[in-house]
Amino acid sequence: MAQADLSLLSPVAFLDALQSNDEQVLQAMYTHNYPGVERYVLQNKGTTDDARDIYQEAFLAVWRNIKLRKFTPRSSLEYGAYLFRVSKNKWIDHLRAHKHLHTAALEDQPEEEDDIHPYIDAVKTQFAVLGEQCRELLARFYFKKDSLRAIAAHFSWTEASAKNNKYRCLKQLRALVTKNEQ
Amino acid sequence: MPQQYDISPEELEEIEAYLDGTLDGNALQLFEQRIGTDPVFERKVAEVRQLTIGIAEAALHQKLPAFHALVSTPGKTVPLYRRWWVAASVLLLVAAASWLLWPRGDSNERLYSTYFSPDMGLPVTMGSDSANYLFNDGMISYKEEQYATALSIWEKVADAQGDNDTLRYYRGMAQLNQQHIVEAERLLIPVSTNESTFADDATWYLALIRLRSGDRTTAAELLKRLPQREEARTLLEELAK
Repeated sequence: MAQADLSLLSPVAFLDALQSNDEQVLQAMYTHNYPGVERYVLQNKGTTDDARDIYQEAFLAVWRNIKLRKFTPRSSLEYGAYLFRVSKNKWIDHLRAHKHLHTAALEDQPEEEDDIHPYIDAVKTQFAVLGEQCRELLARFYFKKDSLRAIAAHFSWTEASAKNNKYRCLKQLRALVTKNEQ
Repeated sequence: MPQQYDISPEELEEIEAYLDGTLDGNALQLFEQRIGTDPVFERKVAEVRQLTIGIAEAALHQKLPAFHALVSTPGKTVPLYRRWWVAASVLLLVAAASWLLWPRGDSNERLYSTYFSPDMGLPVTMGSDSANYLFNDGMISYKEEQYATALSIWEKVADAQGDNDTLRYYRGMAQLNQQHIVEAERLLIPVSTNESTFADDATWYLALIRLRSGDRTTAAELLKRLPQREEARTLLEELAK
């Protein structure tokens, strides 16, 4: 889908695309909304690397809030405004932590945009420790939303093996999270 | 979230179906009852939800460097999409305004009913080669108005042989004929913008979908892309009245 075609998506289709991790829509949202955040960070004592890091953190926080149904954007405009607000608040927090808050952002009070989800964070951390095949299998199923049939075809497995391997990988991931939580 | 329990493969499958919204009827009722009465099961559901979000977020995280590589930086030529986005934003605002202000309901529905007729499908030739056998099998179901069966067959073809505009278009039609508007739109939009035999037909049905939802502005924009199509010109004139 070309980026311009996002304007044709109805609010329901836009939300559905985000919920189903449509990569083209996510990429379009990322590239479209970045320049505004970069401008803000550069005007407030940051570098382009700071802007990228804060923006990526905010982009993931927004995605998570959509998944947890804490934020339900009805259009790309509403999504962009929210992403900008989260980025800005994260940058203000960063400035506060580094005692640089004599800036244009001084008057702003960050709002609590994202709650803490230690279990999700632990899953993310331990996911990196899994073997490559498990990572690919789980990412295909849970992010790309590939069917077990498609996954089986990709790995040259039967559909039953794909299902068993998915279960096994997930079990391994749960065990890693539990072990490292203790 | 301490785990002092196992999640069996059967439980995992059921919990995933619940989280995907594919459980319904009695199964859904029983599932929700169990959540309400079994605290361990409730924790399992919460855990699987967070597990799947964590995995998907990790996968998205890995993609961000590639997304960032496409960001335009100051000094570069302003890429086309940024200008497009200005137009797209305006179009969205106009669409939102027209949704609120335009007389809706009867006239849109009447026009939709007048102009909509389902795509008849492609002719199915006897003795097709095996590569097309499944596709044609789906087409027979489509022509028999067994749209769910056709969809399920075509999804298998797309999985096995890779997706293409013909498959997207007819899956879009099968969705539309079942009134699954959101799914239909998502399948038809890429077809409408590709150099495809079905691009004009996809654009036409997208215009009708938008008309039916009351978004006359976008419907008109889409119809303007079909100057060769007589019914598109006539409908555009009706919209201008």
